Amino acid sequence: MTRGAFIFPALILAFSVSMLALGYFYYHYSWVSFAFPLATGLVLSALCAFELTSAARHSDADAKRAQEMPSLSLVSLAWLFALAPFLWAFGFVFGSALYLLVSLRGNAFSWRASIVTALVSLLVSWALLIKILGVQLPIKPLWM
Amino acid sequence: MLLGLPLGVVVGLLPGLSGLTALAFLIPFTFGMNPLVGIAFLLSSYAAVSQGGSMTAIVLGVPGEVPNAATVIDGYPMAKAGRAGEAIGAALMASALGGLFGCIVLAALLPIIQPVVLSFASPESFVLAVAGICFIAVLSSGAPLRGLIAGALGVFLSLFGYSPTEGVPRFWMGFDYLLDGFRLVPIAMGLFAIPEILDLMRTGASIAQSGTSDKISLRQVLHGAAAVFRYPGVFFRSSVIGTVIGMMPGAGGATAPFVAYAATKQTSPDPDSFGSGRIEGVIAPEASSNAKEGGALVPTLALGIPGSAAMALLLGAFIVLGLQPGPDFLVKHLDLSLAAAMVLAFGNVASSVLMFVLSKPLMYVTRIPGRALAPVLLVLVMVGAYSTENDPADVLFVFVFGALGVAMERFGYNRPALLLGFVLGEMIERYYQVSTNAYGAGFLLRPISLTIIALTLFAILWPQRSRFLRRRPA
Repeated sequence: MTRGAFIFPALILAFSVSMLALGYFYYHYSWVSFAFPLATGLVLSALCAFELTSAARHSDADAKRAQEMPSLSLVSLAWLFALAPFLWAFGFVFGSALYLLVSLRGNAFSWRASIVTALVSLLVSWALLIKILGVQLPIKPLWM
Repeated sequence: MLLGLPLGVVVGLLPGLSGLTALAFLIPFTFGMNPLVGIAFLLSSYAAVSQGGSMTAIVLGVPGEVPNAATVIDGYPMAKAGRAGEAIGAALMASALGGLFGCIVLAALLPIIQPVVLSFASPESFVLAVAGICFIAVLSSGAPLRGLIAGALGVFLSLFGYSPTEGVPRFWMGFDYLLDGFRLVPIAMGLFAIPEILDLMRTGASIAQSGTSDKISLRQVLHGAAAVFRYPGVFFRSSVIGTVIGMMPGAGGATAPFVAYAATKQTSPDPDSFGSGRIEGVIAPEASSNAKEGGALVPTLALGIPGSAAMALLLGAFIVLGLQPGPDFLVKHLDLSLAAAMVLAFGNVASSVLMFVLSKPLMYVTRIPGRALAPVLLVLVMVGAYSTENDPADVLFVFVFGALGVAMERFGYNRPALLLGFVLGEMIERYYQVSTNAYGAGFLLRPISLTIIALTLFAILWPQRSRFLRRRPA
C-alpha cells in the first residue's frame, strides 16, 4: 500500500472526528442542530475506516496508480502561488495583468506576447467585468 | 433574446460566473419591460449560460456550473485526446435537443401536472438527493468506497455555518468566513481548476496531448453532433431523467446530469471505459442538464415552487414583471406559460448555434501551450472566485480546495461526487428535519420513497451481479 493511500482517508477520518468532538464537547450543540452532522460525520468516519482496512487489499492497484502519477513540481507550485502576492500588492485589475506579464516572460514568451496578454487582461477585467457586468473587483491594492 | 443570448454566452464562458450571476445581473434590466419580452430576455440568457459552462468543462476541465461537472468526466479526456471538437459537437447537439425535449414535455404537461408534482413531498426529495449522490459515487468511478467517502465529505462540508433549523453557527472555529459555511465557487474552482492548472504548468504542454495533431475543423464538431443520433437510447433516457428530476420541486436539478451519466455507464456494454473519453459520457449529462430546465419550469410556473436556485431567482423576476406564478397563473396566463416554454426551447437551440460558431476558436484553446494557458486560466479562476461574493478569502479557499482536489485526483477519489454532495447537503438536511418532524422516523416507508430506494439499490447492485455470482461456491 502506498503511504498516501493510507494518509488521505486517515486525514479525512481525523477531520470528521475532530469536528464532531468540537461540536459535542466545546460548542455543546443542541440535538436538533447536531443530529444530522453527527449522522453524516459517523457515516463518513465509518467509510474512511472501511477504506483504511481495505486499502491493504488494493495495494497493487494503488502502487501502480502512484507510479503512473507524476510527482508535483516545485516550480509549477511556485508559479501557482505567485498570483496571491500580486493580487494583494497591486489589486485584482493591475495585479492580474502584472502576473500575466511576469509569468509569460518567465516562461520564455516574447515581450510582445506578454504585453498584449497583460493588456487584454486589463481590458477584460476593467471594461467587461467592472464596467459592463458590474463586478466589484478591487482596483486598489488589497493592503490599502 | 438577441441581447440575452450573447450576454449569457459571455457569462457562461467565464469560470466561476454561473446562470445565477447572469440572472442576478439581468433582472434589473427587465423593469418596465413587457412580460413576454422580459421572460424571453431572461430565459434565453439562462439557456446560453449552461452551454458556456459545458464548453469550459470540455475544453479546460473546469465546469461552469455544478451540473457541468458531470460533463468533465468524459469530455475533458476527449479534449486531451485531441477530440475536443467531437465532444463539443455532441454536447451542443445533446443540449439543444435535450432542451427541446424538456420544453415539449413542459408544454404538454403544464395543464395536468399539478397533482403529480404535489405527491412529491420532503421525504421523497430527501431520498432522491441521497440516491443521486450514491449513484455518482458508486457508478462513476472504479473505486465505489472512495466515491462514497467523497460524497459524504461533500455533505459534511456543506453543514458548516448556520444551521437551517436553529440558526446556530456550526464548526465555525472563530472564523467569520465560516459563519455562512464554505462557498460553492471556491470549492468547484479549487477541486477542478487547480489540479488541471498545476498539471498544465508542470508539463508546459497543451491540453490536447502530442500525437493528436488532427487539423482543427468544424467537421469534427459535426461528427460529434451526429453521434447523438447514433446513441438515441442514451439521449432519450437522459432527457427523460433530466425532465422528471427537474420537475420535482426542490429535488435539486444538479442531480439530473449525474444520474443520467451513471445510468448510461451502467447500461453500457463496456462501463470500465467511461472516464477515459466516451462520447456517451458527454451526451448523457448534457441532454439531461438542459432537459431539466424545461422540467424545472413546471413547478415554478404551476405551483410557484422553484425547482432550483436559478428558478427561485426567476420566480422573483416574474414578480418584478407583475406576474404571480402558482396554480392561478396557468389559468390566467396559459399563453405566457407556453410562450416561456417556447422561448426556453428556442434559447437552447439558438445558443447551441451560437456556440457552434465559437467552437473552432474554443478548440484552438486546447492547442495553446500549457505554460501560456495556465496563468491566464489561473487569473480567470481567481477573478471568478472573488467576484461571486467580493471576498478575498474566497481566493484563499480556492487554494485550500485546490490542495484537496490535487490529493483526490492523485489517490483516485471522485471529485464530482464531493461537489454534488456539497450542493445537495444543505437541502438533504432540511428535508431530513422536515420529514422527521412531519412523518416521524418512518418517513422512508412512504410508497414513493420506498420505490426510489428500491430502484436505486437495483441500479447500483445490478452491475455488480457478476461479481456476486462469481463468488458463489460451485
